[in-house]
Amino acid sequence: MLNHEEILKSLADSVISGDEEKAKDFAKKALEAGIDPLTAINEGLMKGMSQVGDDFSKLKIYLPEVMMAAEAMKAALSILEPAALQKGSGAIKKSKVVIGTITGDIHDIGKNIVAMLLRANGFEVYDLGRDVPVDDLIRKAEDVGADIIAASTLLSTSMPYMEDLINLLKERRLRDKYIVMVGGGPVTREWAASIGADGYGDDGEEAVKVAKELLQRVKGK
Amino acid sequence: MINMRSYRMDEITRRAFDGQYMEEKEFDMKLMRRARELVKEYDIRFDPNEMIPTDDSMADDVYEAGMRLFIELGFYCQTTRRCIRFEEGEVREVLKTLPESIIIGEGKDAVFMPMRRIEDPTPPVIHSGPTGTLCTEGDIYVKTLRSYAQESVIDSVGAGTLATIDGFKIRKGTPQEFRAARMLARWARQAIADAGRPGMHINDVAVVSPEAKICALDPNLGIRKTDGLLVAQMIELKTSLQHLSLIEHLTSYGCFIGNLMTPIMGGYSGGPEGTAIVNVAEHIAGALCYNANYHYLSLTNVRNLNNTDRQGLWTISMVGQALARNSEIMSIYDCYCAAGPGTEVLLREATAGGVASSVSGLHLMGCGSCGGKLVDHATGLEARLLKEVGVAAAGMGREDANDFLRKWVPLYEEWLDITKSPKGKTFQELYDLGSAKPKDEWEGLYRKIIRELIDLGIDL
Repeated sequence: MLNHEEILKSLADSVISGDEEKAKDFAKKALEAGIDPLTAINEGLMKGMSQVGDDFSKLKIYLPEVMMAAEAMKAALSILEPAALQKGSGAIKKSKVVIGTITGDIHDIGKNIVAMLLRANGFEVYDLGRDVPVDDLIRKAEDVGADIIAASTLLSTSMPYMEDLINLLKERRLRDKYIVMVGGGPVTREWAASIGADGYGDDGEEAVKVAKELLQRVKGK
Repeated sequence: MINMRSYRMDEITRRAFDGQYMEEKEFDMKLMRRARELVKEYDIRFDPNEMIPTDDSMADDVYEAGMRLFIELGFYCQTTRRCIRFEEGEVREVLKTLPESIIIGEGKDAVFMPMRRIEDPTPPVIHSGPTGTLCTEGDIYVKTLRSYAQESVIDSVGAGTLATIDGFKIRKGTPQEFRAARMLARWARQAIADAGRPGMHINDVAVVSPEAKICALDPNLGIRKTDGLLVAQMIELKTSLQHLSLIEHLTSYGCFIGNLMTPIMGGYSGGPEGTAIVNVAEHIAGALCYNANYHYLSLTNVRNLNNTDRQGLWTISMVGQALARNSEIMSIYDCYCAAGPGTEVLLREATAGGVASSVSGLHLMGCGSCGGKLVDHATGLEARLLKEVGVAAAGMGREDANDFLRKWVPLYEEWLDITKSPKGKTFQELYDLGSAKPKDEWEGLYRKIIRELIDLGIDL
């Protein structure tokens, strides 16, 4: 019989190895052993995913391994989340992110990586895809009550639309309501600051870190 | 099996509408899974200490795996969400028709560009320019391109991206993008004329919309039939009806067509092994569906946006060798560096890229810098070095090239993290703006690297 610590470690390992079956198995074992589902999520799955994000950031692993880890995590969450809800846990409430590759750009691999890592880190992500008009991002954020609007591009010719996003939010007096994050190939930290964006990430891992920090600092979440 | 050896865009378009319907995410997942399976099945292995693979059978396996991937998955059309697929016999028939050489440019500035093989003593051709780098419009852009064109070793220029036109920010799909396409071609013509090489091949105008590129076609002031334009594939192994429409027009206009691929090292294809297989498939797609005369291998590291690390060098070498041994698909290594001009690191990166690609049967393009994030971070001098090293490495054995890279790469690899790599200076800071020649500071760094290379036995 495994102790709690061993079960949590196995949950983390199942995410790191991208093993869906093992992840589901240890999610069930965690509940059977009386581990609080939120503890299983935070101390097991999230720890594993954090390791995966770190490894990807250092290119010890590549996108397919990250996607498999995310799938394993999703499989375990399908067991642990309903259990957490059943226990009446309020902490399951997720922060919401509306994300898209902005107008004029149909490259989406960077945006997909960020969306996947955000999801894996407990965010509720609304991915609007690519070539997304600025007002669609805002409309969706209003519809779902988002905390963060995140825009990505690989093209310098789409960067002006990120400025438009900030300006339209100001024009509609919504700027203070949302954290705005930008990123992608040609976007720099300095340029992001110059247009008045709240956050920027060099890569997916940093984007998640910045999103968490901003939520805490700006929204107290 | 339909005859694909004659005009085939009608058949390609038909398949773009009749092929298997598939959500794009499903295509990505299929590509990801299949690439992993093929890596295992063919036992393709990346070795960080052998950046230029020496096993011919592995090169053949990568080619066959790439061919299988293309046959099984096809070329995904984002517009119709269908897979444009071909029978293996159709593909092999088309590949048999590819020429062994082309002549780019015109008059006294025309350049013979042959298919190169592994360890080929034939010198590589360089298509130079501020690839993927934003440039200031107007006279600075002309001077930037002139800095490449007036280097006697350079064979072709083009491919800069403008941040503004007439002071307007350029947005995709706007009148300014169309104007930028026209002006990029005009300024490139002016630059090569100013350098005394009016017939030099112009390799691209870097605007995004396929329809905007057409604005650059102009036999007098723009892209001529002896010049070329790049047509992009979407990542990975994808196209659109807009891109195919551009191919249709460029084919009838008669200029050269470059198949621009930006495979992501560490993306859907996984590591170096899967990326090499997927990129071979992308070359085949370009030969078949883009009617490409040459292919730009713009490998991009998922994090650092370069291709000069061990994984990047191995991948471009593997792809180059796979194509050189098994086809007439003429590919060009698009050198992307993490560091910027005015730094030793950039020169070291370009050197490694030049050696690895030249030995592996590729031609050259470069150099991109700083992930394309910094304006005017491109000069002719790094392209001069890339070409000179490529020429020196032509005919070098793979073992010797590996010995060199094992000594050379450790000199710069700690600086390849995009957040730490030295950004260097702009063209305006590094060049005399009257003569478009490098200032002593930059020329001195170049000479230092050349001396180091000579000491290491590189024949410069």
